[in-house]
Amino acid sequence: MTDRRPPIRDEGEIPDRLAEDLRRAYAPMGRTSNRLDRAVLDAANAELGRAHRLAFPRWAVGGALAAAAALVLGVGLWGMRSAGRPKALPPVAQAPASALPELLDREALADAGIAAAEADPADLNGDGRTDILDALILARAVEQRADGRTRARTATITAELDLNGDGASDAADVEALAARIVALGRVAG
Amino acid sequence: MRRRAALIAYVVGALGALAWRAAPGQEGGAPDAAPVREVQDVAPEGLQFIAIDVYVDSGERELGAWQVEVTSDSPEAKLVGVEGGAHAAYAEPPYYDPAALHESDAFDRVVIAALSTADELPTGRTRVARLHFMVEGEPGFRVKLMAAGARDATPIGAGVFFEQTTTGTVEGGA
Repeated sequence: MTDRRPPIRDEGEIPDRLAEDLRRAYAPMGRTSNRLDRAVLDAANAELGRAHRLAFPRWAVGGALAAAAALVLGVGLWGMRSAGRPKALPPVAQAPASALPELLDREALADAGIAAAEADPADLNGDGRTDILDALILARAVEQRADGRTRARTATITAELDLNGDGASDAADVEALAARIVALGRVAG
Repeated sequence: MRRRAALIAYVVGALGALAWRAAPGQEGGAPDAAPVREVQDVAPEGLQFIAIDVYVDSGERELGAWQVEVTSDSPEAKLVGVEGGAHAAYAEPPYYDPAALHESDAFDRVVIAALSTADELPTGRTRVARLHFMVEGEPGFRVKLMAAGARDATPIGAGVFFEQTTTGTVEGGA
């Protein structure tokens, strides 16, 4: 019988066929063409360019940083200026005018010696207001006295209403009373 | 790269300036002070002289005395003259506070009043006074009857009216 087994080699030897394959694999490559180089380069640029478009552009990153810096600067300045200003006080509750009389404790005022306003002696018709009608009453009384038509009430009025303090109640007091009635800053009635 | 850095620095500076102007209390900022430009935009339209004729209607009763308050919507209305009425009994100027003439910019109202003991007194509707105002723009006026009395000084119900007439204008304002 023929022995078909490969011959036994010493340790460290490799089969001839394997050796031949290894020589081919690691043999120096032949010179590649420019066309192949260009194709490889174009493919690489295309791949890298696609990856570049997916990333954030530099100007966008710069703009975001600028906006963030401006926001921080603005908030900081706002806080600095606000810190130096007095804060607005809360609104003070105001009682309506109609409630004021109830807020006044008249008895307490009387106890403190503050008397209520007395009636105006110039309120000649006693209606609680001193207006042009009171001046007309005085004018008529002065005129009647001058005409010798003095009556008791006329005498009382003219005797009591010496507004200008000249010792007599006359036309000048009518003028003084009328001037008081139309004076601005005075609440009529 | 340098150009981008310069652009970023410019944007930061511009936004910072905007934030500074918007801060409250900063001169020129909108919240506290109107820009001068806006003040110029609301310049006076021009001065006007307006006459207010005041009428009192006492009906069938003789009008022995009257008292009226005239108010203006605008504090810019300045009282410059007071005249009497149409009837002989009220031909003299009514009583009024002279402060309204000299310091009318401090008042938005004037009280006028008159009385008469004449034999002839008006009845019905009669012009009792004419007031002259110098105003800017178109202010509104109101009149209110405070008192009206008959010959014997008894109160009477009466109506009060006024007519407003422009007697002159001065273009360009004060």
